[in-house]
Amino acid sequence: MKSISRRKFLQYSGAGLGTLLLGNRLTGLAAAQEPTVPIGAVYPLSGALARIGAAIRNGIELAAEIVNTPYPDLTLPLAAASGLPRLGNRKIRLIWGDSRGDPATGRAEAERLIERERVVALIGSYQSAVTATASLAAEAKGIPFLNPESSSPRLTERGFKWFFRTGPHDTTFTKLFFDLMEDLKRRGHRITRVAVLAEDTEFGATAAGVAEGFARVYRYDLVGKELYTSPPASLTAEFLRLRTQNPDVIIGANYLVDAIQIVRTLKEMRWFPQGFMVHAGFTTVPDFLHATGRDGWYFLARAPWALGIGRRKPLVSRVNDLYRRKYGSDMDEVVARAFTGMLCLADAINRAGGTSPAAIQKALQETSIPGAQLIMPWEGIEFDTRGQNKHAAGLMVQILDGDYKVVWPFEIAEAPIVWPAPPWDRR
Amino acid sequence: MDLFFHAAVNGVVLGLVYALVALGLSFIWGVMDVVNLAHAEYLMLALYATYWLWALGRVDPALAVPVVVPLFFLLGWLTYRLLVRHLLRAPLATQIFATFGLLFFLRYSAFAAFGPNVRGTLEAAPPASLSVLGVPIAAPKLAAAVVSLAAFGALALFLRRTKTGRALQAVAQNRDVALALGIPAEGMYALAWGIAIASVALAGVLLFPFYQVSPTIGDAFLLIAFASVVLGGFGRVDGALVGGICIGMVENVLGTLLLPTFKLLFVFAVFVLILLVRPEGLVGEPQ
Amino acid sequence: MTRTTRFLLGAGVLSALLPLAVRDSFLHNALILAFLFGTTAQAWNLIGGYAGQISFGHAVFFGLGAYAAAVLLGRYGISPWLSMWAGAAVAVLVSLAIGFPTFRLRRHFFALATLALAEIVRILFLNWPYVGAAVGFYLPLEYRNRPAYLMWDAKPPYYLTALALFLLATLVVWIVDRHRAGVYLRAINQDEDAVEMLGLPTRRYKLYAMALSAALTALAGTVYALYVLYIDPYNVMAGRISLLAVVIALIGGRATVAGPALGALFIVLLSEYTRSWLGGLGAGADFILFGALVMLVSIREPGGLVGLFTRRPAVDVPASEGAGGNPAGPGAGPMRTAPPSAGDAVLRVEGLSKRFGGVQAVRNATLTVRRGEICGLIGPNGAGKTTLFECITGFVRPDAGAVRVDGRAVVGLPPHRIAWADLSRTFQAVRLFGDLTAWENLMCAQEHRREGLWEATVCGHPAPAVMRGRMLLESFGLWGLRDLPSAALSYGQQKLLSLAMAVLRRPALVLLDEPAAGVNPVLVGEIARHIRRLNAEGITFLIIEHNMEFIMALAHRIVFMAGGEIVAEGTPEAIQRNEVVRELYYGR
Repeated sequence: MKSISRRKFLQYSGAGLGTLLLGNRLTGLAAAQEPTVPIGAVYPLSGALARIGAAIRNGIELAAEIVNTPYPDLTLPLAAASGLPRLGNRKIRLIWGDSRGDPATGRAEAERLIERERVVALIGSYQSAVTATASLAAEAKGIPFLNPESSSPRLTERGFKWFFRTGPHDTTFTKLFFDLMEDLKRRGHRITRVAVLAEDTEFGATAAGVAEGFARVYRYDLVGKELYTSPPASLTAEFLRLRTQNPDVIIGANYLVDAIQIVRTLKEMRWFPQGFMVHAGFTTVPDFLHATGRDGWYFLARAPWALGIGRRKPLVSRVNDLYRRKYGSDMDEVVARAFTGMLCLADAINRAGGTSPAAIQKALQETSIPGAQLIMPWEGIEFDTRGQNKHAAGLMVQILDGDYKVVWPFEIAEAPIVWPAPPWDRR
Repeated sequence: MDLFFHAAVNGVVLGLVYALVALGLSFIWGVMDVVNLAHAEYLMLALYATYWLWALGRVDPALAVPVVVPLFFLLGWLTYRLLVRHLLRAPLATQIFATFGLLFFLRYSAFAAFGPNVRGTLEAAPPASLSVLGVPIAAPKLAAAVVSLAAFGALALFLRRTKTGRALQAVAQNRDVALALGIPAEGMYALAWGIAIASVALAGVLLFPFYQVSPTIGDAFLLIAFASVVLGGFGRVDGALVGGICIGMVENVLGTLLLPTFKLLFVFAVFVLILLVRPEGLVGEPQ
Repeated sequence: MTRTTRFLLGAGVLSALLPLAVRDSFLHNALILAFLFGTTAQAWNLIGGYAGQISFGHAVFFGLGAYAAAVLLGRYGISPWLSMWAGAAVAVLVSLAIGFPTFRLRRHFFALATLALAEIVRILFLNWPYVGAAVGFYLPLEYRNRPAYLMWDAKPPYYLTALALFLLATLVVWIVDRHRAGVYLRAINQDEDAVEMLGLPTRRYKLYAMALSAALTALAGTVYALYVLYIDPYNVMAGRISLLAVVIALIGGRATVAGPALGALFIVLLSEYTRSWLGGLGAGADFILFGALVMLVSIREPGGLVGLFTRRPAVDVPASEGAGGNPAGPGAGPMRTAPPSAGDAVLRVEGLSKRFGGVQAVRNATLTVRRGEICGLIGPNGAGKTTLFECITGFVRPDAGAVRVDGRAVVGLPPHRIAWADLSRTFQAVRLFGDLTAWENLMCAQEHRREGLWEATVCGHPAPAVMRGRMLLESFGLWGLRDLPSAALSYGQQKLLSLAMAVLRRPALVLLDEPAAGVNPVLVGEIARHIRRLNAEGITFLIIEHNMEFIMALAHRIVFMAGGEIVAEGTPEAIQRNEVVRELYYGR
């Protein structure tokens, strides 16, 4: 009896494997005959970052839909026409790869999309560590790789020829923090001591390192730099230490997993610095406010985008309405970056007039999208020789009354910044 | 000095929380010499149970105790019936592997069922801070710490004063002799698993207002729980209490005074040191 | 086994040709990962599968290999072909540093210690700027497509490198498996104290397996780093890697050569393909399956996947115990051999005392066993007889007193060194290695005194041991059962086998702890006959026994112990007449 079941098991598994291999072949074959333009997207669709991956996916799919179907009332690139006009109105088709948040897997997925799915360009991959390896595959195969949202400065310093980044990186972002502090000092606030609280990953450590460098240049006293392993069983030691060092500003690089503990430990200690500035990470994910309520207010976040800019730029609100109708929630800044990156890539493919990688690469290098055609508060998109968007910039938002408000640069602020953050007993 | 005092008070409170998490681990280890690698996953599941009770049924976490704790007693009992029972005579390695598989299974089932989203809620029970000797401590943590002491006390009383408790001890000391005396060892083991998992669920419910809920939260506690058990002396219930407090102190006092970045390093260094120098633990008797 | 060998060889050659036939880089990638993690699992198999020391910290070695290659290339331009050996060497040193102190401990302590040490190393690397700290280390890309630097854009060269590494690891495990070292390691897995008592330096073998394992794992780490080209502690030192090694080896089948190979293919391919089929939908579905499989394997099929293919042939165990001997009752005739004429002392115990808590188990015992005699050690339960044995053999350290074997002081030596002083023992409850065959059990008992690790790894059993082993098994009536797992033998057969193991290397002195307990009267006689014959060969015996008829007929001299003290000694006749003995023992 036992031996029969074993043999059956083997037979079934063998048959299963055969079907699957064949299945893969067939999809590959089908892909070659479709009159669409396949674009690969590699993002963390499972694992700890899957939530963010899913949001990014929504943003990119919305961008593809805007390209593929006519939206005459939007002043976005390619919105008016159906598909890519210079390619005979061919539509773009997205093929998704799941990086699981792991660099090796991200690279393997990029390779799979390039070879098996024959994508003409890639977009991805959120985390800098994954973007670093996934773009390596593209560089080796000579396929353009567009990165909308990774923040490690290192990515555009590798001398890659096929790598383009539309969004800002940590240096740009961190500069925002310090420029804001300088402006606040001009208004009479006393800010001298800065501390960093970051998770001990590539994301956290890079952000911490850049902040350290800026503190030196801007002549602030870096009183503490605490890295912790996520998820922590407690952050008590970190905050006891920070409280003793009494920084005026804490710069954080943390994801949502730890945000809840950060807020609650601060509240437990009945302490809050003048300002807590965060590298997007947790503050801009809507779940943050669901989980922390009023306690999550007054955090400041750097963002290349905020819903609030819609007041000055109606295009933003119109795109966000589309997004909300489709996915039931507002866009966040990561989604906006991914959305913009996707449109930029589609624009380049259209101008290339074909799907040859070299033509797309050339078109990307020649990209010049004016700021008016973007939902971002940027002057536009133009790449420098290293593939970095020259106009990528950011702004500072603060969580006020349960909403994300642009508070800096002061010229475009929606609401006056609350500084210093009120102590817990006066909230 | 003030900093040291704050760190020490926090350390003791946190240590008591760790001890409550480690209680069940130590108990199972003591009663049947099984190392349950999946222990912290039950904490994660209890956090989820509390969350869903709140999110779907608007049940206040404080009131979730009478629902979640018996439920997890049952879950522990089931774990014993379905898995552990088959491993009683198996070599130690097989037992370790089985609970290791259980860890994988529970964690990724939670991933599949609940998604990787981080959940938590503040509206349910805003954690106000209470003052302990002038040091502010979040109410949920303090509650967990107090309940931790009570749980250790109750378990000790149960083991010493009740007939069932003494029977459990007899099984723990010598299964075969206990069997010969007519004590149903299987039932006792199932009971031990029930108690162990119920106690870690209790920790989960109490910690819910302070912690986030995500499938990987077990990672934060697993090694700390092991460290507590080994530090105190494995197989002794009071060992987990002593060990938990020591870990809380090492983490907070050394972490705060020296370098927070290396706080876990200190914890694990102490853990390894105890393993090497005094494997029987701080309160255990030398073999 | 030769069939398996041929199969493996064929599979190896075929897989080397695969990249020529299939140009699918997704498949290549999946297989590269399968080979690299297969190598890690195979390496883990040596220490975790064969030796049964469960490590949850193999990511440390993997990471050390990765970092050594990355840093040496990135900072000094040293080719990974060279630095991979540096990585392996560092990994070996670290493994010894971990193993040396922890191998003294019970096994779950070792497992927990590896878990904690892995965390410690990970935290150190996360905060060590020289190796990139938490930001990670980007490998310099200017070496791409230079085979001398193990870096290519294409997949097939990596495929072949990973395959070669995997075959190397498999070959190492195969060599160990086929020779003495494999048997010893499996014996260590089953009963460490018992194999130590046979004179095997168990800690040395565990360290050896650990070092080999660490070195192979580090090599896999090097190739992984060169393949992925970006490393940080989270992708090369994380628990994920350690756990993957464990899962692969377990599901494939541990302590087998083919297990990790099958496991790697099954797990990595399943994992990679579920990702590609299910995309985001399959969030961790493969891990749920692995978890369930690991539990199932633990409960049902400890052989893992390999267990599906191979099954132990069912062999009927002949019921007759110790066939071939003509039964002779213990009391039958004047069977006792002549007492030796005033031999020198083989064993001298002087003033030995041992206290456990409040119990004085042995009190000031002084005892001499002369060369060539059979000395009986009797006394009521709890008299301290077995404790005396434990003290002599080094498992328990006496509080006071001296023990000399052949004139050498042995107190304080580890048990295997005491065994080397030319002494062996059996245990009250039979302690065989149940999963090993009778023959393998016996071969564990060969002379280990001058046996080098290398010799044990590459050589078969030495001819003299084989000849004597065969002779012993034949005369004990166990030769026909030699390929059965010893757990399948009857209790009497197990007793005989353990006697054979005790005398295989002809030690000067053999301590037997109740050889006649629990066996049928016919066999009791047979055992007595064997002991006499072995005694005639020149082996001295010290025997604890409760079967008075048996021991009185067998021993030349009897020592009587009660309450931890040696109360009387003399010829069997004298002891039987001794008033004190009669009162203490027989209660009259």
